[in-house]
Parts: sequence; structure tokens; C-alpha cells
Amino acid sequence: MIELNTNQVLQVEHLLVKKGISSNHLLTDLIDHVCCAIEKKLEYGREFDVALNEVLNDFGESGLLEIQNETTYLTNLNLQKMRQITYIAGLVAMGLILTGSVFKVMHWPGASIMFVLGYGTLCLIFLPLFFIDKSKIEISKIGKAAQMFGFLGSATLLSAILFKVMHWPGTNMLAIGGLFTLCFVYLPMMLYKNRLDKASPENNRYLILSFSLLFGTFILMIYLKPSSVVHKAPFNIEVSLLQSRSILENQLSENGIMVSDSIEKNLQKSDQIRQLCKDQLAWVAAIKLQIVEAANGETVQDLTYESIYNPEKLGVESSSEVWTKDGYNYQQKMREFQAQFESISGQKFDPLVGNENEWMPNTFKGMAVGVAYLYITAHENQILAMELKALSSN
Amino acid sequence: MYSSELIKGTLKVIILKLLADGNRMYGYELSQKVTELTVGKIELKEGALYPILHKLEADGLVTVVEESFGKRIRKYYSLTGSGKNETNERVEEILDFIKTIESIMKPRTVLGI
Repeated sequence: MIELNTNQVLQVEHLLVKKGISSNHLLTDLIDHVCCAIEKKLEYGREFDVALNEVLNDFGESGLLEIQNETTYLTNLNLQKMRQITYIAGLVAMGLILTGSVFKVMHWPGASIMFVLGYGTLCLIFLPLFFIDKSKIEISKIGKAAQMFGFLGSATLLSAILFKVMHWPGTNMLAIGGLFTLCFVYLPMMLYKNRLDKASPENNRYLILSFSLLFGTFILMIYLKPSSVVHKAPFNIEVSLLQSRSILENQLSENGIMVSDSIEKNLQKSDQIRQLCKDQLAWVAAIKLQIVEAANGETVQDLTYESIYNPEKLGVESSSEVWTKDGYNYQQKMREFQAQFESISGQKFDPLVGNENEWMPNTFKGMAVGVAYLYITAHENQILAMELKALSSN
Repeated sequence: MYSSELIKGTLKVIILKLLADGNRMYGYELSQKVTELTVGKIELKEGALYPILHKLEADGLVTVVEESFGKRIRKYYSLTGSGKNETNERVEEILDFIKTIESIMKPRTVLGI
């Protein structure tokens, strides 16, 4: 009985690996098999090199790889069930997210729960199964590792979307982390793996194309990101509104004194106007307070356009008697004031915001609390301006 | 040599049966045993043997023990409990199948019974 020495066994192993056998499990089998076949030939008096060549030639040019592919295919048949679960999980997740989106747009309750469940299913069931499936088909270690990073990257990126929708902190870190994992770890590993597997360049083209699109979209989003402008806008305007208010109040106090000093018969009328405006301002201030209270627990810094976008979430409607969904009561109250003011002062309503018939261009429905707050502040100025004009003309 | 279509469906049973009879065997031994038993009429090629063995292992019908042999590692395959049950069922099935095929191919013997 002839037995191959260490060098010869290593030579067999080297050749098999060179021929593309990358599954360790199968490699051990084939090394032993080839060695046995060679040993048999050696017993018939063949030289080692000749015997090795003969045995390998028996496998044919791509025979070894076919064994490996067939083995991978057969052992993966069990994956069918897993694929079904993956498919169902994917469907459920997409259904939840889509329904959640509709609910969110319509401001119906329950959108958040659907988003969390949908993205949870997506990140914790669908994606792991999807990438386990992919990594089982991968033979090389780098392929398996690549799939793991693919999972990590895409799960992180998807949770970034969830965090964004839910206004949880850390969205940017997640998005950047996920994207970089996908573009700078997963993609290079896949390209390297494809080179090792001698995969067709077509695969690489699709990979690079899809990742360029992903990366491009991200860069575009950064450039087009309007958030810093939009979110702060109401409060920047707020500052200017408050400034103009103080100017108005100054003018009013000066003119008020002048009016009361000069014409006595208008004193009563002026008082009425002043009282009416004072009452109305107090009422509007109360509404404003309710809005701030509605955003309860949040500091003014957190009270951004985005964080208070959802009025019913903050309980604005329920906590306020006048605050109905479409702001109808508010407008009604403003119109009553307008009518009273016009009858007392004899002046026509001259709006700073909105048109002659409306106290605001839009209703409150679906409006951000921050924007409503802004309008109300503008209305206060409006009242002050009306008061000033009425008293000046007296 | 039989056509590969004929052999295809029977290789799994052949491997299971050999493992049942031989207790534990390694890959090359299995292929040699088949050649020996069938006097070369059926060849268990590596291309068919290892994929099936690995599939049987993945299904939990066989287990593997690795032992060093000379300067290399040899993997011995043996049946598990469920592998033994599966073997009995499959062997019965194929024997029944052979009878059925016979009844078609040699109708006279059936008539004679």
C-alpha cells in the first residue's frame, strides 16, 4: 500500500484550490478522493505527476467546479421554506409601511405603530433571512462576509428612514453609517468576490450602476435638503414679527396719548377701539399659549416646524376649545372682531395676511402648529396695526 | 454502463444502502464499492457522489467523522437514526419499483403467477 507524502498531498490540495474548490468541506473530501485514486495508479507503477494529471483530467476541464456547484445547489434546497418566509415577511413589511404612509398623510392615528412594525419586520426578519439566503449560496469566505456587511448596511440605512419618520435622534449617523457600509465595504467586497469567482463583468456593471444611483441619490438629498431653511423659517419670521410688534406698540402708545389729548368726542370711540383690540389680543394670546402648551414637554428649541407638525399627536385639538380641525372657530371669532371693529371705527378691514375675507390664506387643517403659531402672531400685529390706524385717523 | 437517466434516481438509495451495510465509509471507498458490486456496470462518479453525500448530511441522514489518514484528513460517512429509517423506506420502495417495472417489461411472468 503506497501512501502519499505531505508534499504530494499539499500539491493535490494546491491544484484543487487553484481549480476553484473553495468549500473546505468539499475540499477535504476531494483531496482524499484524488489521493486515493493516485495511490491506486501508483500501485500500478505510474509516476506521481503522471498519475495526478490523469486523475485530474478524468474530472474534465470544469468538472471540479461542477461538483462544487451541484453540491451547493443540493444542500441549499432546504432554503425554499426560508425563502417563502422571506417573501411573506417582505410583503407584510411593505404593506405595513405603505398603509402607514397613507395614514400618516391623512393624519389618521396608528401611522407610527405601522411604521415601527413595518420597518421592524423589514430590518429584523426580511433582511436577515434575505442575506442569510444569499450568504448560503456564497462559497467563499469573502462572499459570506460581504453578505453580512450587506445586511448591516441596508438594515442601518432602512432604520435611518424609520428614525427620520419617527423624529427619533441619530438619523444622520444611521444614514451615513449604513450608506458608507454599503458603498465602501459591501460593494468593494462584492467586486473582489466577483473577480475571484470569475463572474461575468455584467454583474459588476449592475452592481456599480445601482450603487452609483444609491450614492448619487444620497448626495443629491444632502444638497437639496431644505430642512435647515424650512424648519427655522417660522421662527426667523417670528423674530421679525415680534420686532415689528414692538414698533407698532410704541407708535400706538404715542398716538394713543395724542388722540386722547386732542379730541374729546372721539375719546369714547377710541376707548372702545382700544378695549376691543385689547380683548381680542388677550384672546389670541390665550390661543398662542395653548399652542405652546400643546407642544408640552418640549422646549422652545425643540418646537420646530417638524417636531410639532402633527397637531393631534401633541393633543392640540383636544386641549383647546376653540382649536378645531379646520380652525373654523378661530376664523369665526376673528371675523366677529372684524365686524365689531369696522362698525365702531368705520374703517374697512385691511389685512396684513390673507385676503379681505380671510384671516389667513389657509385653514388650520393639516397645518403645522408652528405655522399656525406664526399666523397667529401675524394676526396680533394685524390687530395692533388696525388699532393704530383707527386711533391715528380719529 | 447504463444511461445516466436510469441511474440518476437510484444513486441516493445506493449510497444509503451501502452505508447501511458497511457501517461507515469514505467517499472513494463508496465509489470503489459500487464499481466492485456492479462489476463496473454502475459507476459512482465524484460528480454525483459528493453532492449527494453533502445533501444527505445537510438533511441529517448521515453524519461525518473526520480522521487523519496518512498526511491527509479522511471523512467517514455513516447513517444517523433517521438515515437508517430513510434507507429502509427507500430500499423497499425501489424493490417494489423494480417489480412494477418488471411487470411491464416482462408481462408473461406476471401472467404466469
